[in-house]
Amino acid sequence: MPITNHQLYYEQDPRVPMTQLTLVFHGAGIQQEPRDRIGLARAAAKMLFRGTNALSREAIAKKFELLGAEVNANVSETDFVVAISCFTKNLEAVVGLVVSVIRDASFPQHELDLLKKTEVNQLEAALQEPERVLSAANQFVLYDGAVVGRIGSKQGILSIAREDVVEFFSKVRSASILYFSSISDLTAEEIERTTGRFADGRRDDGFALKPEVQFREVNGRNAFIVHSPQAKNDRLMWTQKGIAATDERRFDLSLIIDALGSFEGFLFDELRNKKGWCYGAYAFVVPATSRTGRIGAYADPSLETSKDLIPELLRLYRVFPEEQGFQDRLAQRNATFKNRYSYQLDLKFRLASRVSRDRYGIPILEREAYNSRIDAVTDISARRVIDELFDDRNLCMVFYGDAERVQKILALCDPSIQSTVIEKETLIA
Amino acid sequence: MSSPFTFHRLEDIPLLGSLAINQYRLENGLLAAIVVDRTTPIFTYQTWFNVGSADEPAGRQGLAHLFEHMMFRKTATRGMGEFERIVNNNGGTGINAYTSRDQTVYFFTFPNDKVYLAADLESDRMSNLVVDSEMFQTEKGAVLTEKNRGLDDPNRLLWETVYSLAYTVHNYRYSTIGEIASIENFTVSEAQTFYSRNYSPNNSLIIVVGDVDPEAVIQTIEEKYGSLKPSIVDKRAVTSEPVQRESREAAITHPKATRRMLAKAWHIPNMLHPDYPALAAAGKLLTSGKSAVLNERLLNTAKATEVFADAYLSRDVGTFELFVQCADGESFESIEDIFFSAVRELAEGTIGDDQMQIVKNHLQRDLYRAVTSPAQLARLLGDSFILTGDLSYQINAMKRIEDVRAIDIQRVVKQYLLDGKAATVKLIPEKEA
Repeated sequence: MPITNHQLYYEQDPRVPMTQLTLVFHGAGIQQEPRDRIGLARAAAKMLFRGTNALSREAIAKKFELLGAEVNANVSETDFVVAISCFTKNLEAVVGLVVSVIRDASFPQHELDLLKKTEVNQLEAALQEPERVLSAANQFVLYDGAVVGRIGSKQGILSIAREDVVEFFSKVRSASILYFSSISDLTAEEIERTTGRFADGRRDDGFALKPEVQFREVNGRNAFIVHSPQAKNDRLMWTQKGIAATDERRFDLSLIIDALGSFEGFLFDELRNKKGWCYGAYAFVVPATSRTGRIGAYADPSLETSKDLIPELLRLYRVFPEEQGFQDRLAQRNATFKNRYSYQLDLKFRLASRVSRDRYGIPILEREAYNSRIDAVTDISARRVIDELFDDRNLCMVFYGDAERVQKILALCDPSIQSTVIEKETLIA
Repeated sequence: MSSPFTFHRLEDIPLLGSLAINQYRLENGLLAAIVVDRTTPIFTYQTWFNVGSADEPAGRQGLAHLFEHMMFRKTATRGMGEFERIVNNNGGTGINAYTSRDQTVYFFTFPNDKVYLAADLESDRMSNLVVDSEMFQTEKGAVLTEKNRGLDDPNRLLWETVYSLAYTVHNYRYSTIGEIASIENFTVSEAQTFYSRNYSPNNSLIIVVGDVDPEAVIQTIEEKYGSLKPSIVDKRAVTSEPVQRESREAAITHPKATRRMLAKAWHIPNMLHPDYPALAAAGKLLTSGKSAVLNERLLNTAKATEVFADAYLSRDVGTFELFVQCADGESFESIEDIFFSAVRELAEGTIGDDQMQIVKNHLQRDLYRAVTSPAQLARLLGDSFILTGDLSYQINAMKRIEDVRAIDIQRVVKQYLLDGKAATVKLIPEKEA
């Protein structure tokens, strides 16, 4: 069942007199930015609480804090989100203020000028964090430079005018779907009465959800190296095509990835525990949404051990299904996953599961049904899934390190690898 | 018939609402703190050792951290990798550890029916760890990689330099991970001695928070830890630091830095000192929330991209710290002028009722946030115990925030930040240097 307009997802938490209420303007996220205005959705979010005709930014901030509230707006690829957290006793007053800001936000020019300066500075600051740069480069490559995959764009931010923000937010406010999620000590009925204040009379002729951008197809082994000549450590993140959110093979894949790349997984054991070549080594899944997910691996070898780790990781990626260390781990995952069911009973997890069910069609399973899906994962089914999915010939290989040195290592491993050098500044251009 | 158990039940400590700490002590000195929260059928299990990098001899920095890595290796009863395998098979998550100045902490979370297993695993590696030469060498390789990862981080260099300036005698001046030479030179024998002296029941604390039955938990702890022998723990060699009578300053560069960064640290007393609540409140006034004084003057004016000011409390002499990541074109001098002008206004002007209410609201929120996260609550209790000897010290301080007066905040701001001397480090991007 798809998410309906003004739907509420709710869990009660009687432990403390606090309410968290999140407004999700669905389909009003980064996907709606024009190509020449990268950063506009984020700018609109950051500008939302920076003034109305009646209240300055300082006055709004002070009013919220006097009520014990934290209120922020942020964006994802698909959504514009306003998150409220406050003492329950002040919920009505806080909501009243949020309602008035959403209705009357004035996006003052001088605040936009300050925000643009800050955003540009933050983009430049992000380049000094190796892990963030690696992750941003991976996104940049996978989304083929599309707006949603960009860490940001200095040029895009600088070109944003106040009129752009005003127009963008007017369509956010009237997004075709607004839904809510809440954890509170209040009852569902009490929260519904509160969310009604956002829903009453709201127009819904603004942004409508677009399809998510798909990841690029990778043919062959394509390497992208973020050139970092003075790095003391190398880092790599490799990914390949994964599966859809409702693909029946997702249980097999979860167990395989856990056996391969968790804290006690095969890769960590081989590369870190036995060889001491790196600090971290793991496999992961980029979760599927309405977009096909990806399967990935990460490691951070030292400058001295990169030449050993890179070819070994390529080898392990090819041969891991036959290795005893992996097979033993896979066999043990049945108990692991059944035991982990308890975490699915956490309040936040339950809330997120219901949203995922309605957005992507991922069913919520009771313990018994879940256990039987785990039991259905066998050595034979897992091997079939590995054969079908794992593909060491078509890898998107992103590196952070000295480009020349990494290229030499890659040439020795596999001369067919095509490599592209990325300057860090490209990621925020 | 007398009870087969010899643990002592100490007085319960109320936390918030129905939450309370059930405290127990075993004959061998081990302290256990158990908090029941049945919201989710899981529990977090943390083991705190009262030893950190500040307890290491001068020149041998990094052993506590390297040893933390060894605890994930093998024991006399469990082979290499078995610990993690058992944790994982039984649904354990969040398995990890960290070493800081004053403590070393191991933690994981399990489904609620795995208490016996958790106690068995932790008591085993607390008493039966095997440290052999080959594994020790392999783990050094991983730690050296971790060290190098840190060297890529300008922030890390900045703070390591701050502490090396702020402390002249105390071991807080050294980095927790140690230096490359010291890591390479540690011996198996040193590690074994470190283990037998420090990883003992009388030097540790077990914290369990979650969906558990306290009586059953303490009986399990008694069974698994009760036979462990206490050790004679070396007292920390240096516990004080001479009063800093002069300003100290350093300018550094880093090849990865793209922004100027400023860090300052002033000595403050430890958490037991009566000034602690006022110092904590001063930190909130300066940088907690969008309307906080420094956020308003530095972030909201686009002069900086990141700012924080807070009390970093340690068991011995702590520091009140300022960090600013400057926006392009902003000089250190102008940032410092803005900071001192704001601090002077706080100390010499009026702190309004509104400002005090906002500070209290922030602390109240911190308290609520902590008690609704088992892992966060356990950490708050553990930190309090290591730094003050009282599990509930920080929570009680948060609850007593109403007692903090504006005049107290003004006094500590003047005494420690205006009249005190700071260690200042200015990090300049290499391309500007």
